[in-house]
Amino acid sequence: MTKGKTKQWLVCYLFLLPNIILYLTVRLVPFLSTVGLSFTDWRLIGSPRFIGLKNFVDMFNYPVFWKALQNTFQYALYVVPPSIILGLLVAVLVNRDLPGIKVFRALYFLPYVTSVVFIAIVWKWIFAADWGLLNDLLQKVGLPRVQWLSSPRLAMLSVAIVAIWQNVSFNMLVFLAGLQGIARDVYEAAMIDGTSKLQSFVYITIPLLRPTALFAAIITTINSFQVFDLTYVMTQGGPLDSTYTLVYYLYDYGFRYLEMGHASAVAMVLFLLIFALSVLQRRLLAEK
Amino acid sequence: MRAVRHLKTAFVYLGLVLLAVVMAGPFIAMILVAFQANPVVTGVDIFNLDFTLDNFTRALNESRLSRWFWNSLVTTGVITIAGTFFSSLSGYVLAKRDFPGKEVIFWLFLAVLMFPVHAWIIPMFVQMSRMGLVNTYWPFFLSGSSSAFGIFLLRQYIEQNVVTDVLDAARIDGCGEFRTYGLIVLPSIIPGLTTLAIFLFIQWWGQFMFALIMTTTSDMFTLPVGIAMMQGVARGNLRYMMATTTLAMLPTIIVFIFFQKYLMRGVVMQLD
Amino acid sequence: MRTSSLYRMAALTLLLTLALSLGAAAQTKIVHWSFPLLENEMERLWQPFIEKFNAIHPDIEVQVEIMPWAGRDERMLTAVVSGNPPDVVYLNEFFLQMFVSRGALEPLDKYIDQEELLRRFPEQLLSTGYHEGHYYLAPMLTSTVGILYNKNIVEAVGWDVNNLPETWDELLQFAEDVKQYAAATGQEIWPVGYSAAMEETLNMTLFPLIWQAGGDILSEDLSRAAFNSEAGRAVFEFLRTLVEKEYVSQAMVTTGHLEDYFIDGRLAVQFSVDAPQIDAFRDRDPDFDSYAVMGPILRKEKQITYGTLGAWAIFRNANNPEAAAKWIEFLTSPEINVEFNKATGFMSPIQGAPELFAEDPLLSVLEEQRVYARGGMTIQDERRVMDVLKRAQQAVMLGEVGIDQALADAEREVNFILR
Repeated sequence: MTKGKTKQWLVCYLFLLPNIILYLTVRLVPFLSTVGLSFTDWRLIGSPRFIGLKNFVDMFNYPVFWKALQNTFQYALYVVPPSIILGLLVAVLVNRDLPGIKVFRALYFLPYVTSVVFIAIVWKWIFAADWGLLNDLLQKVGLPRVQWLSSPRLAMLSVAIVAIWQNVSFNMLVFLAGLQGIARDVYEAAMIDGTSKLQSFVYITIPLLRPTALFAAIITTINSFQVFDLTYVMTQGGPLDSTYTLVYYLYDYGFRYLEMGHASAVAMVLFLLIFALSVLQRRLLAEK
Repeated sequence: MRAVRHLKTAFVYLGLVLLAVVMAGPFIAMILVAFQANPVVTGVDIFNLDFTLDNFTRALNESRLSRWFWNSLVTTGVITIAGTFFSSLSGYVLAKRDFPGKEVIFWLFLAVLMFPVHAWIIPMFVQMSRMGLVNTYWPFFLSGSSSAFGIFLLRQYIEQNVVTDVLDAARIDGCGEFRTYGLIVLPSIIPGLTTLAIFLFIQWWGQFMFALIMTTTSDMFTLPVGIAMMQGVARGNLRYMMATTTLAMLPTIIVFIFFQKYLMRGVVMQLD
Repeated sequence: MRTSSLYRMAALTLLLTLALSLGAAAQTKIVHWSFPLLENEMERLWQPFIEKFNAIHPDIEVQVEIMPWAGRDERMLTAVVSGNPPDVVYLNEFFLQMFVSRGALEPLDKYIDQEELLRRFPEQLLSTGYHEGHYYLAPMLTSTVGILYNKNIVEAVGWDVNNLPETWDELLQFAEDVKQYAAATGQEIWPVGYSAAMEETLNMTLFPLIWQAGGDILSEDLSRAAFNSEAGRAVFEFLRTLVEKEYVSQAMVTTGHLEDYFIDGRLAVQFSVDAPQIDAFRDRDPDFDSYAVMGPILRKEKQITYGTLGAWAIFRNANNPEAAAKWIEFLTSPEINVEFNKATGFMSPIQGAPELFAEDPLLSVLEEQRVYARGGMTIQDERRVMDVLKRAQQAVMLGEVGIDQALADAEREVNFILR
């Protein structure tokens, strides 16, 4: 290699340097530490004590862990399908050239750009059983109060509603882009052939939107697996752990009880789940 | 035929308006309550609206809102600028330059993209503790300035929008790498940079869990953490809570109003 | 500029910098963490105190930080671990184990004579901060938890303000009367305000009830659960009844209560009211005293309530422990201590302190009820144990789990944690 070339790729690495340094120090090394810590018992003061797989054994024997795992999956199930379907429907609705449509689109994007914490605070008030807006309106029309956030059965649904509300905001845009990416001639060809609007939607649009839908689905799923801000503010994991998810379990053990070893083990489980999902995404998206 | 089409349009508008109520309704309700003086338990009595600015003045005077705002501004600001800058550096060489180990680096960054925050936050917290950096701005600066998302976004953008010939011409003219980057590449990717910057801003302004863990005293809270903590204290006063939340939301809403185009474009760019 | 004047300027700047840095060094600084005890407390309380302190010790700079209650144990532990703790911190007695077992506290008697401590504070209070030969906590306040009634509702349902419920059964009767009254007049009034939300500490809600029923949470030696007993059963039955008969709103069980409710006249009785809560109410509504009245501490087998000790402690890695000790000595001196407690509504733990609130209709009651108070659990895993019981309480109150089942499960978990 000539000296010029050497200098050239050195410069390239110089460009990459900030990111490389940061990744090593704040991502890779901590990640490896998490892996290591998951095999230890450590209460933050003193040194970590190696205990092998005990954290995992404890975790699997602890009913709250399974509840958290179940909740995580259940929550994803509540949130993802409606987020996708409604996102698509809204995108279809706004995918037209009516005057003022841009204003509506912008308005619908509002939930996505707002911080989850603030959204949670507002919705916590809306859903409050005794002093909430929703129940107030229900009572005004003569309907009974609903224990949106205070019933173990309804709480997860209520939180899911908020998540869906925010996700639709994002997915609408994704699907809009997808819809607008489908060439008009495809539709025109179909119309010439005599297919109805509904048919063309079902047999042309939806298949062509598959990669878009997949993208939206995976992003939404990964986000829902990591839900924390919403449950922390709205329900604190309750009532009766009905909104207690894996991340909350991790937070409790890692930052409230300060059992870093156990929390790291949970982080590992969570990471494996999300990693599997990401790999799935690459795989599914790759086979176009 | 015309009539049917008009009817259909009317229905569409109806749908749009209803949807607008659903999507923007909570915000409007919040603002309405924030302006109320009437101490109704449910926040607002529609038949008895009583507007006042008291809740806002109280929010600005009593809580540490301005301090939290400042903290959010500093952390998010630095992250946005540094993150965009670093991502552009990496994105550029990954898009337009060849060098040994390029594939490895690419996959390294890709792998990191898949690490959720929980996979590294515990040791990160411990490390920051040991270095005495907990409850400072440093955890934010260090964590937020490296954005895998940013690297890929800009790499793609540069690939699509910067013509290699121009770069070659510059090199022949004797431009060093840095000058090429600074004088040619950067100016031509400003829309991409803006998009990334806006994204990073929105993402980190609302960051909660990280900030919750990394700050311990209320003078270092960022806006989301401070307001979430206030809930316990100000639980009694709904109008006060709504006023503070409204104020807290303003920055992102303002950014949104002025930069929607970039945000939307950013979402679209992720699709490819 | 001529060279000589340049040199002169440089010399002057150097001198100035030296002087300033020396001045700064001469000023020792201590950081003091406290928690919200009063509305506007920086102006009303701390600034005047700091000024008085500086009159005696002009070389010590005191920086008071008011931290939120929420998540305070994690914050304090984090501060200790990061090697950058405050010098002085406000600790309740049940925090002693958590910190002293981790070697995180400085013994006070290293800086203040043990005899002086024993002279100033009653032995039984001082001993809650005693561990292996040293005293770690300097008592600043004692606080009891009382029960609040809405005078107007009391009279409206035919009860006498001077003859409020004294036993659980009487309370249930009162609640029933309120419920009937509300139904008859078509108003929305919840008889009882008892919050079982996860954010609420059980020290102010469940534990006093267990003690009132004659039981305890843990065994004497703090090694095993003791709540799976007659007393525990009685408590959970009582709580279940409150929800079943709709005396307590289901939402309050899980999401807690809203201050507005009592002020709006929609709540007849509120549990877990202490001095800061009264202060917050008075701040919200200047007319508060016209409809608020404190009731007697309830009794099932015993008449007993929760009382906490609020004390100052010095962290081990503090920057200036000697200065911190001086500040603590100042704060717990009789004059300042009394002033502090008069302002905050707490009771003074100083030997021979006078009754502070004889004229205050609400606080005087809390002061009298001091004799019925006892402190909370002092174990290392207090947080985890309390979480287990919080869950059990919610489960029982919502009727999701049978009382015996809930008690047994909780006992098993707690014993596992304490093993």
